[in-house]
This record gives sequence, structure tokens and C-alpha cells, in this order.
Amino acid sequence: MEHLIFKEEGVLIPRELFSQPQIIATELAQAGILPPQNGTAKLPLRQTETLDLSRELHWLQAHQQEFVGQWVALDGDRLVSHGTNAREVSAAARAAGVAVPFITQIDPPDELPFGGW
Amino acid sequence: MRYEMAEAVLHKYDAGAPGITVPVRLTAGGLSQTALAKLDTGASYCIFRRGIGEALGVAIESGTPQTFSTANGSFLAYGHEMMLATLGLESQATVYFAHDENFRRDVLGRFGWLQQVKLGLVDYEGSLYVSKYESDL
Repeated sequence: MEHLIFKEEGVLIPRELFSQPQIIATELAQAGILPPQNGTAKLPLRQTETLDLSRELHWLQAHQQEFVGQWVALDGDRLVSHGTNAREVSAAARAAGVAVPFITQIDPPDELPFGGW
Repeated sequence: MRYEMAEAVLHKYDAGAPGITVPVRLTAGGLSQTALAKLDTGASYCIFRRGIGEALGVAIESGTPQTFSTANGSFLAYGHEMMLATLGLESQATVYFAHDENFRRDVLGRFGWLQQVKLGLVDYEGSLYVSKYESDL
């Protein structure tokens, strides 16, 4: 899916979004440029590509014990950044050129099973 | 009553691992990231740990505050409008991020996700079938 491109000079609207003013308004609101939309006016569900995180999951299986408690940013099966601050880990990944990083915090392996809410 | 799910996406998950894990993509303010979340029919909303929102550049406390009850207490989270994609479907959703940085749950609940899909589950096989909900009316 195409998204608005935010630059210092302004906002670039991809041609694919010309006929979808709701998406444009939503992304402008999310960026703080327009006031938030009424929460009841949601965009409808639509089909998109299926996410494949198999390489990220493979990396986690192999390496998660080395990073317990930390945030990690992956690009496929490549570790891009890690640390205790999620915002900094994400920023480092984006600075390294990863547009859509996989972000997760490694939970302790001996964590008790979740018993529900 | 016999019922068939047409055009469903099949997602295979590790039936031996805790929870039913699905990949998600969150998009807000021109930034996107992928993450993992648990399918949770017992959760009313889509709720993530604080760091997931912070990694996306979200100012957590600028969202709509909401206190959620649990079996033995409550916790505070803040709702933010964003695009949520998972298993081939994407929509705008209110996603909540926990105030407490020690909150360690990432769940897809009813409002924002479950109510928009048809769901089939064969947990023994680790098979999750998802298709878009469309009213028959």
C-alpha cells in the first residue's frame, strides 16, 4: 500500500491515493497536520499483501536468548539494532535504511504462561 | 448448520508456542513497522506494549486514555488511530499502547480487528483461517 511521503518542504501524495481522500485525511491526522478524525468514521477493511515474517521468526529462534529484555530491530534475518530503548532502536534501524523494520522486545524464556485477562 | 469459509487466508502458527501469534504491520505518521501480536478473543481492543508505539514515533500520552480491567486489577493505555495490517487485510484501527513500560502483552482484540474478519481455528494443527467480514444483508 502507498502512503503519504512527509518531507521538510511538504507532503507528497502518491498517485494511487488520489481517489482515496479518507486515507489521505487519516495519514495527515496521524502526522498531526489535520485535527484527529471522528473515531466512528473508520476506513473499511481492505485486502493487502500477506506479511511474511518467517525470516524474522527464524532469527528469533536462533538468537533471542542473547538479547533477553532488549528491543531488537530486524530486517529479515539480519539484526540491525538492539538496546533497551525502543524508540532509539527503531530510529537506528530507519537511519540504517530499513524503511519497515521488524521491532520486538525479547521476553524472558521462563516467563509464566499467560492465564488470560 | 454447515458453513464454509470462502477465500480465507491460511496462517500457520507454532501450536507448541504460547498463544496464537500473527504478524502485524502498524503504520502511523508516515512510518511503518512490523511486529508480532497474539490473537485474543478475550480482549476487547487491540493493545500493545508501550515500546511498540514509541518505536513508531507515537507520543503515547497524546492518545485517548482508557483504563482496562483485568481479572485482578486494571491498567491504563492510550488509544491512537493508525493503519493495522495483518494476514492480508488492512484497516484503520484504534490501537492502544500501555502506559506502563513493564506491560508485556501485544494482542489483537475485538474492536479494531476481530469484528472485521471471519475466523476459523484448528489449534491442534496450528492453522488459522481468516477472511474479510462482509455482511450478507
